[in-house]
Amino acid sequence: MSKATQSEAETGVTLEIDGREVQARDGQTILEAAREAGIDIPTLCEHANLSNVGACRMCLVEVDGERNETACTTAVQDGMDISVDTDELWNHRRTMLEMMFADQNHYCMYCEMEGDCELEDMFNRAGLDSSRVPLEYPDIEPDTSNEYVTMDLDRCIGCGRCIRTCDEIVGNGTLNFGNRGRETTIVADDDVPLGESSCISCGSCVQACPTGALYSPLSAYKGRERDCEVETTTCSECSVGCELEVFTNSGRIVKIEGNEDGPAGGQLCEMGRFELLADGRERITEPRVDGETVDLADAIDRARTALTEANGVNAFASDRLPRETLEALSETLSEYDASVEIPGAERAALESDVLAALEAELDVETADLLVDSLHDIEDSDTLVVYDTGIVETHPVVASYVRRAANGETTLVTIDDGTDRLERFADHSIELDAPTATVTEQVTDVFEAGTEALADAAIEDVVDVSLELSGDATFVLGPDVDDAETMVDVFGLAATSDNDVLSLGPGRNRAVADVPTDDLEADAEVAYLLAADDRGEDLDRQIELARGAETVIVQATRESALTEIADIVLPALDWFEREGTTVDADDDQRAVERVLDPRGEIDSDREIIAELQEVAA
Amino acid sequence: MSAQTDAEAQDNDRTTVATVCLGGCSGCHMEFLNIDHGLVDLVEDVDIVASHMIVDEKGVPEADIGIAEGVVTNEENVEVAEALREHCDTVVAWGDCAALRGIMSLRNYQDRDEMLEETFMGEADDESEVPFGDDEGIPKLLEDARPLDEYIDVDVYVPGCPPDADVMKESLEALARGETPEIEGDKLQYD
Ligand code: SF4
Ligand code: SF4
Ligand code: SF4
Ligand code: SF4
Ligand code: FES
Repeated sequence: MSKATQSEAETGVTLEIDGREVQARDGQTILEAAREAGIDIPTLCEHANLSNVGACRMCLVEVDGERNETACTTAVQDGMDISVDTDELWNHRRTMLEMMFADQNHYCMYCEMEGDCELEDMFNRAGLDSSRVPLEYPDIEPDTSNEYVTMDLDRCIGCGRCIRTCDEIVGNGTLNFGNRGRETTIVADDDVPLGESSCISCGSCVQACPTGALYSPLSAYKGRERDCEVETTTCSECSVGCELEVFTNSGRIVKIEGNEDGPAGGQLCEMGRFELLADGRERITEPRVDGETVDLADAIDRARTALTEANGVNAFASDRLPRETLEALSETLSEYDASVEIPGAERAALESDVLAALEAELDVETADLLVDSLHDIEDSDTLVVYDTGIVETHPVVASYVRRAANGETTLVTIDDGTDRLERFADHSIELDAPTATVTEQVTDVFEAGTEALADAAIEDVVDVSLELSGDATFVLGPDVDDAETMVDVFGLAATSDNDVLSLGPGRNRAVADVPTDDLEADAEVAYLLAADDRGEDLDRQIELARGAETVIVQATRESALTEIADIVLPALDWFEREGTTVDADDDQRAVERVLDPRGEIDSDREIIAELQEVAA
Repeated sequence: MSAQTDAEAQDNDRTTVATVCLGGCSGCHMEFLNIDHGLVDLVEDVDIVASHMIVDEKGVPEADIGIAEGVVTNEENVEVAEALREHCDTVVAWGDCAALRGIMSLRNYQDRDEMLEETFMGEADDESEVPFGDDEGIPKLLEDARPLDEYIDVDVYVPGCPPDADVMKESLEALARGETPEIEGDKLQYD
């Protein structure tokens, strides 16, 4: 982390950089002071949010005319006289660059990074037009074992940005330097192919790599950054609600990156960075009835008739959709004899009930029981994670947990299946009993004080109880679905004056405000607002479709579901939607249109509203 | 004086330029033609005495400036490169291949003979042979393709695959004025 975060009150120092007087703060590096003063010092291995290691020597500066230091690792001192832009320093830099060029195989004309490459820019700045160092031509095979991240160490300059990103930002520690000495290269785990390593394919190292050594085949050769427009929106894949920076060029998406100024430090997860781009299913652009393409008005007419005439309607809506779309659906369905199911709604409702009960019982404010911000959990002394499935369902929060555990925080994990955070946990509690049992005992022990420790039936309970002395946060994963566990956890948080972060299965917490009900067993019509759902969500909808006589599907792409639908209406893709979504810490997040819709419709909401009109 | 001697006098004032293509794809020479109308202005200052796309001269004549495109990849390239150095005062490496190795050196990652076998698919019939270059007529491939300055001294580098026509023109004009061309900033490129 930056050394610049010290308090402003600290003593100021004055130094001179290339003849300019610069004010700096004690503890800042020369690089930080220069940047604040708007003076450019060339860098390669330094990167936003990462520690500084002084590996590339591009930031070499002359101090007091007598010695050269790397500006990224040297602290300012009062009265320093710094030179950056001298011929001698550029000669040093050029020599370093020639060694990087000669050591590996840089063929810019067919490199995916060409045009966006920081190394190439540096070659240009240093005026590298030939190499005085004999060229090596090392024979290095690219590692294509990971579906989304290609590692072509042919172009690696050993700056270590990827290693530090995986370690300090993602908290995963997959990458390392291997084969010491001249043979030093980047390796995954104990030098296994990336696709077989502990890598979670978050792509954060790809974003951090200054060269073409790490890239995603999903984005390769689709265009240079400078020819792209960038729109930001909110990820629809889980309730962390990461901000996506979507790069587009000529109406198509080139790549998705994370915001480096945000709390996640530029990271996204596999779902947000890659899977959103990798949906290869055919797009639905036109409405269909009984397999024939029809006018939108006709399709809507048919759907209205089916909804009106049905003895009952079972509806399902994707929780990837914005609040406004879900509300429109709710309103339309209120005109019919309909029930609606939305993933995550059940858990959200249960949670509200539990919180309401506790509020009355224990005299606490719900707001005091919930974490203020997702990111704050890193500051806890103890983290207790119920259900480590968050590694798959809420990966960026899982990275906060790992980062904290890699630091001072004590991590306790409680899981009844595979503990996916075992590598990072101080205490890993495997459950054969329901989670509630453990928490109940913890609660007992906690309330009774230390003398109860000896009596605790589960040894691990002792660990948890002991850890609750400082600031603790309880993280509830998506699989926690019983009222008992929830009461216990929230109750324990209330009595121990701690917070809970609830990560339910719902991607959009706005589902809590949309009334849902149990579906009818014999409803004749299924109205499925599938959007771009896939996997389990789609399976559930197929199950509902099978039980109905008439199936209305509103979907973005073709699937087994649209194949069995009687009426198919097109739906927007994630990058075409607009509205708001509510993330796990109850923030309203904007869903922005990135590209204009390709299909025949401009708004899911309007179609839903039109379905309502007839019924009256 | 007659008109002819005027022209001769002008000829003698002009800087002579010879360009050769070593192991290259002729892309640099093609880009040179992209100077387009500018070539008409250029030949007021320079006299192109050899350049396989412009004049019919197969050898490497004496010239003030000798320009080479391509890597040194076979025995003939070595001879031509050496002749260029010998016959010209200033030697220019044009393009990534000559300056930095470029696309042609991708073959360095393979065994030379295996690569030839594979490229020519063995012997197609009784009459044909894989051109290993052991006989007269076809220059033998070197073990590796390497940039020009690993064989001869190079005075000026103009990288790029190919360099921009404008950069080629400006650098030639500078050389004709007796200056060292400054190729930096936007003019420097590797693609
Ligand atoms: S990594 Fe950069 S310098 Fe190396 S080949 Fe690619 S664009 Fe060129
Ligand atoms: S993709 Fe993510 S987990 Fe995998 S090596 Fe890169 S930073 Fe680490
Ligand atoms: S792979 Fe990229 S980020 Fe990692 S050390 Fe090599 S150049 Fe640096
Ligand atoms: S953590 Fe959640 S919100 Fe963030 S990128 Fe991954 S799926 Fe999207
Ligand atoms: S940026 Fe300072 S050594 Fe690399």
